[in-house]
Amino acid sequence: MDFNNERLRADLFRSRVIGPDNNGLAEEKFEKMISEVEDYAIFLLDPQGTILSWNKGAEKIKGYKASEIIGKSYQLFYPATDLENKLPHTLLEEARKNGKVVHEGWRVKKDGHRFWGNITITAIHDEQGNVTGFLKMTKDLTEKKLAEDRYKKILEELRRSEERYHKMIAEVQDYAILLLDPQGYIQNWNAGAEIIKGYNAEEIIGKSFKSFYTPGDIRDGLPDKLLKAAEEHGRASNEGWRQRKDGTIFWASVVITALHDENGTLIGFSKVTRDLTERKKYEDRILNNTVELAFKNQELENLNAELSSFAYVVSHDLKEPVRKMRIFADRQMEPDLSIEEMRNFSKKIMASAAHMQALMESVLVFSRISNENVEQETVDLNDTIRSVISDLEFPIQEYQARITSNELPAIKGIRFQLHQLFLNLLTNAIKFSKPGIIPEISITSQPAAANSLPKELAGRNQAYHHITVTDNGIGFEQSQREKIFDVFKRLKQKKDTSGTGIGLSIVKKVAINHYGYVTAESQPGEGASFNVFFPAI
Amino acid sequence: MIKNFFLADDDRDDTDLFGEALRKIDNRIVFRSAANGKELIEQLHTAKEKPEIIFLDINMPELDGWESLKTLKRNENLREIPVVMYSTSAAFIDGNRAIKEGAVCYLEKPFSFVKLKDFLQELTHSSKDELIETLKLIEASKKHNIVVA
Repeated sequence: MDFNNERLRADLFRSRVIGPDNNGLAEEKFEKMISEVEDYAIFLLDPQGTILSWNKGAEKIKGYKASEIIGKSYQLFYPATDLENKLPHTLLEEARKNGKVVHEGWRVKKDGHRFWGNITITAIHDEQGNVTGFLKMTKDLTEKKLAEDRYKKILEELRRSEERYHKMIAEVQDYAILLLDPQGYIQNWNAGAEIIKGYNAEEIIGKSFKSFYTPGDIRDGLPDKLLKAAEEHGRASNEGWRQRKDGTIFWASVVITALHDENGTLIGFSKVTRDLTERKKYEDRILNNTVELAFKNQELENLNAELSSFAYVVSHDLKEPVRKMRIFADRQMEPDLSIEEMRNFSKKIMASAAHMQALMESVLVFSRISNENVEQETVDLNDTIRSVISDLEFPIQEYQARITSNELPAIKGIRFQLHQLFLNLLTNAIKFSKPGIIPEISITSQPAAANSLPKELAGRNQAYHHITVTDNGIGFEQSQREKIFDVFKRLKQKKDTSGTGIGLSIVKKVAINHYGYVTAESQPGEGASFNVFFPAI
Repeated sequence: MIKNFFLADDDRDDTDLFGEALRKIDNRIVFRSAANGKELIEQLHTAKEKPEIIFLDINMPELDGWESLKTLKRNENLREIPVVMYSTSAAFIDGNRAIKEGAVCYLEKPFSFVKLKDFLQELTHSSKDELIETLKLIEASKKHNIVVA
């Protein structure tokens, strides 16, 4: 059969496309129409795939003129790899078998350029059902294909980027990064969250983020407040103690950010948590150091003031007995003195010498107390009181003093200094008793209530014993309650008492040496109470 | 003639010595003493005759020398009386403060009874108007450890 001839082409058209009952005029018009179509390559193949016809669309898409291509094989349009795979053959066979095949793929133009073709091959049959040829329609979808490819590429990029992002978040170890739904239920979990909070994803996803808050914060409604703040302001941050799975706490820095969809509807929250426990500890340490430094500073100032007091006592208090000794010794040389007068001057000289000795001893005790290089040991204050009472045997007998003490604590300290402290307090309590009234002295101990601590000890993270020494003596003006601890301050007239003015300064010094403090309360005639505070072991 | 002295001092020996010295100079001299500033003020309020000169020890209980000086100078009836600050150590007394707060001068307690007597004798010989001048002269002669600013 000569498939190249015009008749056959017309027959093929008629039988497949138009149908057998059309007259010749319609055929002609139809063929003309096909040949003018520009957007589709439409041509006929014989059963072996030889090209029988060509239209404007075919010329435009594939670049061949009709004269160049008619009679050639349709395989010309396929790239080498498709030829190797026998794609052209497969497609024709499929069309032969199923009546039609649709395919999209790269095809080759005359100039070697490729285009993306959408191809439909339809088998044409004769009345007996034999395949007499094929109608091949090709549309150039290169632009669409490229756009699609670009779009796919972008989608792929997006997918990959999202994957990377999720992977990154999942693997971040220093931050707990989670998503919450609008009600605060946990939707995802990362490695950092597991490390910081101790839960694994299976345990915690679906639970409320309140699980991380301490019972106190939950009672105060903190989690809800934070979500509300994030919803209202877009973002809420907070620092505070949070709880891990095992119940231990950590110092968390939290930022909660509200997430919205394109309509502005709240879809949940992102929550980023950092464990700043180390930083918090460091800050607290610095704060403690600052407090400690301020305390040391105060100690130095006190020491300075003390040194001035020392210079004062040396120049003034010690000078006074010397001056008196000189005056009275001088007077002993006055002519015509009676024995009585002589004796009187001698007494004065001896009293001054005794006073001077007492002063010097006090100064020695005081400077010994100032020495900080003494080993601290555990001292049972009950033992201390017993030994002080034994030291005071004679004055206690002389004044018939009654001393009672409840159970006292053991503290860390310097035994002889603590002995000196209670010796001085009890000596004062006896010495400053009301004339004719038996001194009643009680020593009691209790844990110091926070509001009973003097301001010097407030704000330290330390429990204290509060030991009170109360007497029924002459007391002193409340306005003097701080002055009495100044070095060499005497409240009463010198001739009334044998004090050197150092006793209470020593008490204060010992208390401070033991990281404690001492305060006093009194009203004239109402007795006095001394409150000594020592750190509890 | 100065013939009415007051000494506020909590040291009984010093008030005794002061009184004895004045008695030995002239037993018509009026001498009163108080053991602290509070007693001094109380006595002055009830006294019929004000002292012509007041000596104030610095270190006293209740009301010390400085507080007493302030109280005296605030009182209309007492502020004209010349005040001498009287203490053991000159080195520790702020002379400028003494003058600024209204004292005439500052005197260190003498180391000898004779010196005390001589000094007081000189004072008794000056008139009221001459008193300050006398104190300055005594200071200039440095015989009695007097400091006048």
